[in-house]
Amino acid sequence: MLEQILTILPELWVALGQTLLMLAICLVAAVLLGGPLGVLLFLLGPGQALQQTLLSNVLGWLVNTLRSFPFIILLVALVPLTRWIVGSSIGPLAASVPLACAAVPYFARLVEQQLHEVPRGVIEAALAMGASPRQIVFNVLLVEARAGLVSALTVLSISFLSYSAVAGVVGGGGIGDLAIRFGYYRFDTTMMVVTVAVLVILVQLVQWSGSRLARRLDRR
Amino acid sequence: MPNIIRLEGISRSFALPDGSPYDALRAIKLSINAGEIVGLIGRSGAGKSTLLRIINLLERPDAGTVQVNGQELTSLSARQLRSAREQIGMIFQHYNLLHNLNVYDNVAFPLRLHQRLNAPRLAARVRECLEIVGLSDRAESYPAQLSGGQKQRVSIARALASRPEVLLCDEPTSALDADTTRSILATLRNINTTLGVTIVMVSHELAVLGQLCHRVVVMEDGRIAEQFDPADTATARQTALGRELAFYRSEAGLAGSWKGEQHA
Repeated sequence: MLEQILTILPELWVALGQTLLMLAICLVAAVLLGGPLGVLLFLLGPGQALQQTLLSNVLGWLVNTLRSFPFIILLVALVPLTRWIVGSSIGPLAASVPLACAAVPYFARLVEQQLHEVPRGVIEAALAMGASPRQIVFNVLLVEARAGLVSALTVLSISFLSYSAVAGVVGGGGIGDLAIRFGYYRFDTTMMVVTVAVLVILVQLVQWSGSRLARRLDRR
Repeated sequence: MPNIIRLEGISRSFALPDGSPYDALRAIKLSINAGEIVGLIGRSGAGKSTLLRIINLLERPDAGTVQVNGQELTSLSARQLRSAREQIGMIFQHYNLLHNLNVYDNVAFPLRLHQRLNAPRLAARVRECLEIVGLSDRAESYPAQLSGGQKQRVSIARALASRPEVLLCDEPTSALDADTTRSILATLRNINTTLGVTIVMVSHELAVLGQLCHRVVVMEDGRIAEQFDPADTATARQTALGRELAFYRSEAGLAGSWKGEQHA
């Protein structure tokens, strides 16, 4: 058994690298694009600084539509876009495109939800002191919601760790893909157990550090 | 004395859940002198909170003019309004402090928004304000570590930081016990007498208003029903609230006014 594990170890390392690469790309995209989108969704909402019913509805509809795709369908549907961006439709980089497209609207919703947790009165107090909409975002919302935002990012990371397993469909590789190809299709129980164990450890690690950071940031 | 706040023809209506309009304020006219402490009282829904929030335009009137310190607020651009608001401090029933900032950073918050002071002067101003409210030793604490009264003191320090001419108080003591209420009121009075800040306060607590205010404005149905100096006991009051307030005042008088204690 130990010998068996040793033989699959090189493959496991490669897979781990692929998983982390896909996860990193999709989390960076989620934070850089989904974060601002979430803030915008919040600010355009009823009673907020930039209230705009039409634009808010259009954006909300767009986010919902993107989120309604089952991931495997999105993966295939986005092949032309993936080819255009990455130049290829297979491999971990190619798989990162649909992963990012799914992560951006998801994170936007999570961010919007967390910002709603900031008490209305605190925003109002800042307005009464003469804060601009930009200052409301950076000096109030992001400060008060920071622990919640870290928790949201933790949830996102864990969801997309498991989404990345589906990336195997387009040769994305990664640990989830390894588990499916060797463990599931080839009835290789050792491989299955080892890969799932690695995933369990990864998830625990992400959740543990996410919760720890969130707790340290939260002074409420 | 010059009027520091002058409201004229202020009307504001809201849509009720069933869609029908509700007139919260009807053609209000109110002038407040510099250095005055004015209390707004009325039953729930009488429009007192809305009126208070009109003064810094947190609530925009449907009609009417809002002059503060000679500036017509309703005609200002967004940027001009932001700097006008620097001159109007506000405190709230639930304090509305930032929980993830410590006391020092909460008080520094308005100063950092407007960036008029360099770092050492900002620090000195924050210390000064904490001194005024008696919380110099809690600068490093977070709001969650403070009592209700201390939180309200922090919010007063924060409101004073940019040296406002006017302080708006939205039920500042409604969440506090009697002793704490007394000491918060003493602080407010002290701020009024030593710094000359004009105070406009909404409260349900008649005893509070009777003790603190130079003038009490009674609101009913979005109108000003009567206004009087609570110290003037000779004139007959027209409203039930006015008469009730007179009663509280005499009660407090019999029990020995705490006003004296605070100044002793």
